[in-house]
Amino acid sequence: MNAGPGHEPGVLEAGQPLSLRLRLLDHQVLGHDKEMLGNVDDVALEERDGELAVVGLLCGGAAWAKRQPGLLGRWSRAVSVRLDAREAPRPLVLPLDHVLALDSAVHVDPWSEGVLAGEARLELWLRRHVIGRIPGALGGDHPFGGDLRAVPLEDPDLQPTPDTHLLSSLLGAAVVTADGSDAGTVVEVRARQASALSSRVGPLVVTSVVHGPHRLAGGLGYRDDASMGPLPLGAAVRWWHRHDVETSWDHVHGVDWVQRRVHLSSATR
Amino acid sequence: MKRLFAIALGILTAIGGFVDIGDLVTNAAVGSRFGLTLVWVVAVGVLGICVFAEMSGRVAAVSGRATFDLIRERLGPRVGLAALLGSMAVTFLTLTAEIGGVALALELASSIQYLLWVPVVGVLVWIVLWRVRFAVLENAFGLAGLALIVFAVAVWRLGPDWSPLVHEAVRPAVPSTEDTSTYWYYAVALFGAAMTPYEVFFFSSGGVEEKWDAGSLRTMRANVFIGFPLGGLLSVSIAAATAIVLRPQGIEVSTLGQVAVPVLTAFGTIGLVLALIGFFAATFGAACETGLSVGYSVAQYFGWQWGKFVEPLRAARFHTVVLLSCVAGVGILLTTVDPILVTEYSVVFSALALPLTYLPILVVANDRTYMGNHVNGRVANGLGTVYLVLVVVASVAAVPLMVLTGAGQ
Repeated sequence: MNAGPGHEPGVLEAGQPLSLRLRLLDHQVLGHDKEMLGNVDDVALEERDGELAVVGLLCGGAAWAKRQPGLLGRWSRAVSVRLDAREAPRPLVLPLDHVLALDSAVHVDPWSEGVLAGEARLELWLRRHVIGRIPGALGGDHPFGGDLRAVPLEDPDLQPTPDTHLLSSLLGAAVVTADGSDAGTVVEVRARQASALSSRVGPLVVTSVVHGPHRLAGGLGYRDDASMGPLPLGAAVRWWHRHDVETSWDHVHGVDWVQRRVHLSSATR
Repeated sequence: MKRLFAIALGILTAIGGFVDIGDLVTNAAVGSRFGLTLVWVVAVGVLGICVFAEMSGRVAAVSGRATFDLIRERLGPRVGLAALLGSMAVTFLTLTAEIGGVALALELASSIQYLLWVPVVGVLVWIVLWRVRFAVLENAFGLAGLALIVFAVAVWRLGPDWSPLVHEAVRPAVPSTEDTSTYWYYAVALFGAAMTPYEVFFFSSGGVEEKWDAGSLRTMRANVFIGFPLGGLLSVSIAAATAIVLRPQGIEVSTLGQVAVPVLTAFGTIGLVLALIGFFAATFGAACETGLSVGYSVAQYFGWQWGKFVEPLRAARFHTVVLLSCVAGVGILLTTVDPILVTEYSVVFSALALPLTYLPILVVANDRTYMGNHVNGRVANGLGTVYLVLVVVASVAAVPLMVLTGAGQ
């Protein structure tokens, strides 16, 4: 699961669950030469035969804007739409097959590098109209430094389908037990590699959801490592999240993606 | 030998680069009003920045992730955005203060009004950020900043009566002429001046720029644990110098020129020249660091390509942010707002903004998945926890104290 020399061991070990919020969402995306290609602004999920599969990563302003509340979210969505030449722009979903490794960053293959560099519309616009006009602007001979054209990608593989759901709408969703009582909100979603033999990260299947009364500080990482310090901070965070429950995805009856509710089946916990 | 030279150079630039306009003004003002009764805060602040910088430098070296990368991944996009806006505002305010500081130093040297220098300085800072290599930038201004050692020598030369000074420093008490709340307001300001968030953004991003790895940890620690405290000693010597010369005359420091008076008293013109070189280098270097830091933090939050290790056309968003901050900083100064006042506010707001940038670093420095056996040990965690409390207390106290004391009047 290493992308090459110089990488620390990946966070994904065969058979071990991967915490999607902690280890994937909001992480830096890097190319083979550590080009910074964006952030994992959201994660695409799809329901397939009763399983929830992680199918891809969403990168870019549109996906980021969706996760911002109120006016800020609306304005930043409007900006990202204006930067896109297409008539009905949809955020790009980078298939998980193109992710080579996960460590503190998300390492993608050369094909994705080109796609993501061409998707960075603000970068391309500023390169052409602002920075490129300043004397001494170097870097034009690098494949990502030249006058890349923002090609509107219409590749159906990179488009979200009507069945594509977002990790960000699952996180924070209300969890309801079979008898209708409140079981808090989703604070973490865990997945595991479907086949351990793959040299790449995908495919990933969701195995469980962690839910509880508090969302705050749920993403700091104290749940995944029981001995993680410093002691007082760890103790405080674990105490704050002491009512968190991990429910296997087998016990999830269904997800209402519109109302953002996770319904559990009767035999839970 | 080469390695030893690299370590020595790193330490020297860390000393010279430690002091910026916030340290200059706050220490001089505090020295002239409170003598050495607040030296303990400088000590606490310097140890704090050592702890914070060492953790973020270690995380950057081992995991390759700079500070704002981690803030976003641990706090999420919303709280992360709040942290970004808060620390960007503070860093930008600091940039403005540093540009003003350079202009004031040039005014003292040339007798040409500082407002005429402001646009020139803004352009110069931007040109350095646009074209000059990272290592050159860091080393040149750091080394020139060592001219501030003249303050330490001046304290010696002035030959003060040491016993009351030492007594004040080791047994601090609120001076009878000052309110307790004003004393604590300046304590928070000094703490903020020592622990400005940009120093850590710059330090950790600089580590990524210079391609640190686990093998660089020793050099990094030498810079932090030798360079920063010696830089802190320069801060203290500025406070001591104004305490010796200005306090007996009842002069409260409110201009950059007054900061230099003790050196002028001790050494005459040559002292003044050295002090001005030191002021210029310290503020200009810090202006570059803060300018870059604004760009670093935005780019890291969004995952954009950043850094001077790539050519400008590959990091157009980053360079646009840097350019806009230089322009906006000049714009604010041209409203004729007093740069010293901007400095005083920037250090207090630094204290306010610190917790949201400090917490994620402390957390990630404990994450075995990233750090392997380089996770925080007992000492780092013990100090890290104490400073988490201190940072939160200073942050909570900053604004009430500011209102209560009318910003230290």
